[in-house]
Amino acid sequence: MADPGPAVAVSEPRAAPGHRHWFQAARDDSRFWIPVFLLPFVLLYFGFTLWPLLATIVYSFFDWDGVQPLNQFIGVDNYTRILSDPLFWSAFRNTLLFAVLNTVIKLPLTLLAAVLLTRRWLLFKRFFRTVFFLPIILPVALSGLVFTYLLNPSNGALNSFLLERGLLKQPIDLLGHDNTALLAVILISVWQIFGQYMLYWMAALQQVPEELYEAADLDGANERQKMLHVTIPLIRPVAVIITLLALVNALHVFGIIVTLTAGGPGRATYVVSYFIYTEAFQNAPFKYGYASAAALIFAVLAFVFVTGQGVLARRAEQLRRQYGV
Amino acid sequence: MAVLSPTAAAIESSQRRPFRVRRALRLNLIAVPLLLVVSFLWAYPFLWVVSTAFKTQLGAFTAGASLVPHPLVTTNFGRAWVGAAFSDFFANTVVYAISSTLVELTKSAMCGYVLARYRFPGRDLLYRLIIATIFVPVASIIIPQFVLIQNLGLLHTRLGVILAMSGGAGALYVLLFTSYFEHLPQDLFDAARVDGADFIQTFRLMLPLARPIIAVVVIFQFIHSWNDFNIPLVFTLGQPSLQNLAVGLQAFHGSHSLDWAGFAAGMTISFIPVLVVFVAFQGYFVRGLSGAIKG
Amino acid sequence: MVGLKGLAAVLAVALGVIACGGGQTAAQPSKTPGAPVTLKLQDYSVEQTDFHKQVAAEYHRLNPNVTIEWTSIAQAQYNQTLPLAFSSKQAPDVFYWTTGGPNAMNQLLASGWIQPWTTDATAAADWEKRWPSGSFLNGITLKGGKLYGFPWQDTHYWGPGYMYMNKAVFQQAGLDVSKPPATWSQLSDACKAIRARTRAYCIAAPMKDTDFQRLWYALAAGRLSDTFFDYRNGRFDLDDPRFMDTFNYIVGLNKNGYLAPGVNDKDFSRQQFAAGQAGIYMDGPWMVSVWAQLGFHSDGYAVAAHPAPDDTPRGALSQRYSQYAYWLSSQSTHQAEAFKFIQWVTNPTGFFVQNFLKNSFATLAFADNKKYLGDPAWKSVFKIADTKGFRVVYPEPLLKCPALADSKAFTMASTTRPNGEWEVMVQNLVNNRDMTADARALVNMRQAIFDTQLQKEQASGLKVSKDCYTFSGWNYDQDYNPANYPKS
Repeated sequence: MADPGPAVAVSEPRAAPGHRHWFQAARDDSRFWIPVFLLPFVLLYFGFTLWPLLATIVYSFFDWDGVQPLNQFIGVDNYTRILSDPLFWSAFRNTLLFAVLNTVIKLPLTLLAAVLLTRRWLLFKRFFRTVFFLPIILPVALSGLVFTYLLNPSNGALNSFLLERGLLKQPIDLLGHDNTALLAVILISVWQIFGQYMLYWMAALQQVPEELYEAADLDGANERQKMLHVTIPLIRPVAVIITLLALVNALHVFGIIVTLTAGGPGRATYVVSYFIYTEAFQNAPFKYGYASAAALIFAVLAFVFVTGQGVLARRAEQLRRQYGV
Repeated sequence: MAVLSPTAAAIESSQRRPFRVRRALRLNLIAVPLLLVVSFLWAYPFLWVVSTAFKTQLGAFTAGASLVPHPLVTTNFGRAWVGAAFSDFFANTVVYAISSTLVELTKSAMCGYVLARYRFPGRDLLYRLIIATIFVPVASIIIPQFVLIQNLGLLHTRLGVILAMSGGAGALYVLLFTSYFEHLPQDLFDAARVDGADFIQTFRLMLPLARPIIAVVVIFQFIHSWNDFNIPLVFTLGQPSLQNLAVGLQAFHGSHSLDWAGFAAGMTISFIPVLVVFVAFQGYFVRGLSGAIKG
Repeated sequence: MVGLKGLAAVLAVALGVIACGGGQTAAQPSKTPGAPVTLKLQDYSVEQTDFHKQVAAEYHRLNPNVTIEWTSIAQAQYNQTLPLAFSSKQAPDVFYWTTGGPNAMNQLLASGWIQPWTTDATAAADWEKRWPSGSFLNGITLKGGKLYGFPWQDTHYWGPGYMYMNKAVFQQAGLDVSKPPATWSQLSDACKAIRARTRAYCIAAPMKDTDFQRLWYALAAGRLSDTFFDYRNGRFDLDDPRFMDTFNYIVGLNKNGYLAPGVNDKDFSRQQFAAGQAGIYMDGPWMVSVWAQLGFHSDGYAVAAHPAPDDTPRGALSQRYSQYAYWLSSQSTHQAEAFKFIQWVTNPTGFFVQNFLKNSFATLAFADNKKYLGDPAWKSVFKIADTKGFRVVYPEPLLKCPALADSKAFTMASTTRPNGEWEVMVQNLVNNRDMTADARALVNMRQAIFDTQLQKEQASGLKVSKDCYTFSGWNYDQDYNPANYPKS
């Protein structure tokens, strides 16, 4: 069986197992084309991501409402106010919890779905794939609205159904209790984003040549063994990227919180992006400096958290191989 | 890596065919009913939206779990199409979605290819920069983007909106393309090189192999642009002639009430093209890499 | 697979063709009278879109050289795009702005967003006659004798505090809507009857986001007031014992199951009431037109004043100098046409007023609302609001200390954690807890910001102090006498 190879660090591309990786030095031909190929992305990236990022850093040192000239320099006031605000930290804890649970639930499930829905033997594949993909077509805001109606304890679909069948005596209010609200939001967001990660995994699975599965069949491997020894090792590099994207997107959750719970009940589902929204953008005058500082603090914290996960994962991998588990 | 020669594989597979068919049938008998049940539950909220489009406002509210409209009305669609000027917005939405998808696809495929296979000064820096900037939440950086578009004189233009739509989130597509191109088998590149292919020819050879990622980018960018209302709104400052459907949907949010049934009808009209795009591009995920090696 | 060159060509052509479609050129200032003029108005009254089209058509018929473009977008988007419009010099001619309440004019002047409606003093004076005297106050709509704002919405009838009762539910519960519950214990009794004899819930109380205000303002005003600032003592007051009373009463209602379950938004609760799944809903007179849209008319519900506590001294709802809505933007080059248009709009017996009120969008400060709003529900609303002590005129700090126009203390204190009061209350309500500790923490936070900023401003020479916000001679259930403001 193929050796899984060393764990792949996110920042440096490495060869897939068994492949010699060959970086081509820039020859005459490519010396012209490389800049041309890079240009569109780099231009738009600099204009719409880097320059706004720099501007955001500058704004974070001002007290600015987006309208008046930028002239009220307040140094690190925004930062100290945010870092000493208990609501920010409570929102951060909620966000971390959300991100971890959301990712841990959605990634394996979507991988399973992707594997299942690309099996040769399965009938009606297209139909099932379309169904699992449906939720992502709805805008996130609409999904939130739909579920407030469906989960409502007064007359929502879920409660009506369970009460009529006698499975419940009293209606349950999933979104109205501190302890269940966040969990309900996580599950709903997994439902909503399922199609996206299923597609990512389906694309990743394409990198595994069919011959390997056939060879494994010949060796008498069952599904689980094929998954563990063929699929997972070969998609590992892309899987790292997908995990990174999954974590980061989950950390930035916003739309579903606004429409589903508005941070509530009370403050039970407050997340960082919602915190920024209510503090800085919900009422005029806006507080762009404050929002910029909060966004930057959050970006740094998120970066530390995610790369920390990467370091932990690599360490776990090393230990695993050390002990031959 | 053990690769069976084509003949041996063919012999093996023909011998296993009856076994395979029985096994396939057995697996399907278990999997398909299960999937059908899950599919119904999964699609239920979606079906609920579609059925609400046919209900009256109060009918939707009192329906409980039922998907059957009672009474059934079709006036909501008229209200959405005419009243909320969906007919005007539709064209804009199509233009924005297609254009930004094309721009996004081209720039991330080209950049991803170069980042994956070529060393040049600044390559690692660019790659790390792209990864680092993914962590910044996008919502709070719209003001500088607005200033940029304004200085380019592209406010109130479709081009400005398209640029803004394709400028923002390209980083993740580049990462996906880079990763994918990196792990294409070396044999292909070697073969092309031996054949004397230049840069562009090699690229044209390699690009179809990234079909799954192309499909991913097309599907997601299309959906994202289709449903995005913030960018068209901000970059046209509310000018109706340049708005898209998602902005039009906001019209159902009155200051005192929400026209739920009309909203659902508008939503239904709005997602049909998206569904079509998905169904069309689904096939890209199946053909993929294996075709290339078998030749 | 489309070849690379083909793709590039398609892309270039496509982008070129569609991207060249664009917006409109800037409006040309009218040099000669009679030259075609386009007036752009913007607001967030999305439900009035059709009405705006009628208004534009009618005005164009009367003044063929003037085209009215009146666009409405959702409020959240409006708040985001309007500042951008100003900063990119693309502001409309007339815009809607109510943030800042009585201080709106000063804030808008500081931002440089507005110009006077007219520089002709006589025309202004004539125009002011359409409103009751004392409607135009220096520092609130006038500055330096120039007219910047005008009262748009009436504030006497329009506001929270009305209790709507579903006739069918009441009948089934054996209650009479013509004898509505007037005290808190009567309200509890009514709820008991509704729960016992019908399948409906008693009170449809939304709690999501800031929607708890619908129920809160109605009940809290009965006990003290519907503001979170105590103008008698000059402090934020969520931790006032009288508010604790009110909150505990609501918690009691919740424990007994008298509030409809779920943390719902206002649209949900309103539909619940209209569908007969709840017997009582509290909100403002805008509900008349909202329910009409749901197909629920005043033969199905009745209106009454909110219940008040059984015996302790009562409070009242607040009436503020704050309903100035439409302003003339400083970037407009059509001051004369805009003023002419707004005069036509504010004609108390004109086309605009008649059709606006016919649609029941709101009550207007310059119209005889009773004449045009004939729905029985509206008649009840008028009767209730005209009752003495239902809604009283509150003291206005800005009129006591004009220097407050430049003060940011109150804005800073109230916009930090803007939904704090609602979050504290809902958090404790769903857990049936006492809110004292959380309320106190919030009040202390606001007060600290308020005091610190005031001191800073005082130190820098601004004539402001806590005394500006303190009206110790006033009580919560009285109209504040405007004669008490210092003469300026």
